[in-house]
Amino acid sequence: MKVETPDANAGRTPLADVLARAYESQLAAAREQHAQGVPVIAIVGNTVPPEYIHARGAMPLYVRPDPLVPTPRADRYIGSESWRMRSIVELALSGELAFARCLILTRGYEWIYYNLKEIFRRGEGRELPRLYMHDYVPTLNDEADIYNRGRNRALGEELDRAVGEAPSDGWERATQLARRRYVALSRLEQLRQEGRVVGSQALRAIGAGYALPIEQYLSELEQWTSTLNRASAISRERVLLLAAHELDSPFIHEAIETAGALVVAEDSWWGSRAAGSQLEENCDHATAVDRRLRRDISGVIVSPRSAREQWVNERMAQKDIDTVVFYIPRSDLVFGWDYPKLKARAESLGLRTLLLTERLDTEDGRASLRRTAETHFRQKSGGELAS
Amino acid sequence: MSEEVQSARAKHQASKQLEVSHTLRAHHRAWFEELQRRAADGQPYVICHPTTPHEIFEALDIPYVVDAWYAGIVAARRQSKHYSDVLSAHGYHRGLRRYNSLGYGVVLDPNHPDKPWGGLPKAAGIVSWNSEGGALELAEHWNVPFIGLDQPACRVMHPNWWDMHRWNWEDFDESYRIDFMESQFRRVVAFAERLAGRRMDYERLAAVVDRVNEQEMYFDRIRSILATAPKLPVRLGEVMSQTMGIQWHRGSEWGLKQARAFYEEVKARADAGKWVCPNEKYRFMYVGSGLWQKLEFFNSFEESHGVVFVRSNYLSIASDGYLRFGATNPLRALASRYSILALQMWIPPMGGAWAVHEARTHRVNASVNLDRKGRGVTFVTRALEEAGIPVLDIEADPVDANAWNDDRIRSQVIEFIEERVARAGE
Repeated sequence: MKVETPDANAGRTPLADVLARAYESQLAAAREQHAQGVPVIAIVGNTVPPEYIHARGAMPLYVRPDPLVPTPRADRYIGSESWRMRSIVELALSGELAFARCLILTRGYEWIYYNLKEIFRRGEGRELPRLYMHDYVPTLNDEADIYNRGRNRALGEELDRAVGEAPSDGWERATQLARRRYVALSRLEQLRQEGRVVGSQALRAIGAGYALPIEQYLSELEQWTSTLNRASAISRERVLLLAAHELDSPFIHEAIETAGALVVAEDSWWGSRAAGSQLEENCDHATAVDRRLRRDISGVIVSPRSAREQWVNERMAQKDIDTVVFYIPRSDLVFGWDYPKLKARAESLGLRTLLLTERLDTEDGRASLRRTAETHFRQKSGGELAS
Repeated sequence: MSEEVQSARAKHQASKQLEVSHTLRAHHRAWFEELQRRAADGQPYVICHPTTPHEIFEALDIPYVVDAWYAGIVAARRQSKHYSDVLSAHGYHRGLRRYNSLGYGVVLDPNHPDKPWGGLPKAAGIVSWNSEGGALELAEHWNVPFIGLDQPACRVMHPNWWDMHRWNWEDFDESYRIDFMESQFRRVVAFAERLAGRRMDYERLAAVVDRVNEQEMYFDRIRSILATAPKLPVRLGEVMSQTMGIQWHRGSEWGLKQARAFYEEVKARADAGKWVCPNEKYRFMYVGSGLWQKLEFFNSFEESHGVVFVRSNYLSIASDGYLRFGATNPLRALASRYSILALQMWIPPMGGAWAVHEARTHRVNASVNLDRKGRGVTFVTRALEEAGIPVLDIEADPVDANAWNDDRIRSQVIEFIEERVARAGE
């Protein structure tokens, strides 16, 4: 479904500088916070709720891998691994995360934990922050619930050791920030559904929130989204993007949007799943956070399949999508098993589909990805969108 | 069946030296025929991942097929390329692991005239890991229950884990991890009870677990023979096939009997000085998943270079990874075993420490490692190299013949032998 617009410059509302800079330089704001005495906890993955950190007066920094950065240190140990794993290991070994009180790895990234822990054991990882494995299992059943409650308790104890216990009003403050964050990100999501923001910009705006202090981020985001209220809706081929890994790099969005389409949603906590749901009010703060974590869990390793695909099915059924783009590189070991059914379901709803498989960590791969998107969307395109 | 496939199968059969290889094959044939009969009668059987608690089904007399080892049979019958292509044709890209999923490919091609052991009849359910692709898809294809399990991540890695597993498993595997596995296994028990129509007899389960321990001790003794005999008495391909075949039926009376016969035959060969390669010059170990599509690879350099492969993960993990003594609750012993099974072969430093220990006890000159997309293999390679053991990492899929280039790999191995191993021995 296309939204008509008379404005050829729609979608070009520039991203606020602070948000753009935070996305591009993911460590800068956290370093500043550290310099001002605010403890920073670095995290890989989406099962450490930010409120656990905010409640203790610290800053969470959700680290993202970068396919453009060479990985010589990581290559010494795990050269045959995916660029995503090598990139995180490189970042950790480079010493750039040394200012963090702790680096928390979550399920799905446990091999980064194993590899870094071994490098540290060998005495070759002196710049590494303290490592912690938070093994929250993204499976919705009673056994996992019990296990996860124990893991969440252990995470709280670890954070108490790393940055100190939460002050008496810590959870109240964290909860208020969480409610405000939900409202702000939900508003952004609504603007995307209305076609008032380019997907690659939305991605950066969301990603900035994982690298900025929460109050600063919310102020910037709220201000930016208020400017988008005046933007005209964009008339383009509307795309739902489903990927084998987190959409924490903008290349796929940019390739699709440069080809003339508009990414309006993606099944990723770096995208449309960022807002999640609102915290419950009928229980204590920590319980509300744990319940929301379970309710909103997303990613390709969520089980059972019905839980993993619920959001996608609901999103496809909204009938405002023209094309579902799948991104499944050859290094994928997981999402490819879901692909045939998801593709068939999309097509049964009358949606077009496109499969992208190119590597993001090579110039050839990115160029090929752009060509594939261009070929697919060219005939529908009226011009370039991505900046 | 193509002439090429027929010839490869005949060559594979001819390379077998052990009587137990023939009894195993005969047992498998009869067992599958019985399974097909049972399934046709509407009696339940299940499909399991190799590292899930088969013992629960054994204790309730429910037969099970192990998906990865069925895939091994597909590969050994030179049909992996075809069934891998079937999966690809259904949209499952080639980078996805075929190791556990070739059976799904067999099911997706119902009209194939030569399905391994008659193909897979519809199972009553599938038990696997949530992280393992192909199992859920097969369950959905058949519209049968899928029991998805989760292995907890490891936190503490004791390098000498094989010393702790047998008796100190509660310490090693950590109680909270075992608790999680045990709670999931109670769900498996409930599923098995529904299929069997009766409650679990935990004393019977304990007897099954005891039989597994006894069986694995035979494997332990066989490993000692292979490690300490003057020369190699039995080919690695046969050891791997035999170990896998018996492990498939672990805990059964047949499994124990076959393990004993296997041990006795290996011991007799060693006592009689019957060596695989009388001109044995170099002893190699193999690190990786079962190379079921090309087991004769392990014999390929005997005549030309005096190379024998003396050790793989299969026999060694059977004793070091499976044994759990001193349990008062058999389900907890199983929970401990499967909370870590297979991971300890790869997670550093456990994988590397074990590989070095095994290399030393087996007196190996070199190792050939199958690079499985890197998960832990590189640290195993590093540990071996640092211990002075040359390593050749080969890129191949253990079951998918599409990914095997015989000429390239053969020349890599020969160059490795002549350039690195021979020179290291000078």
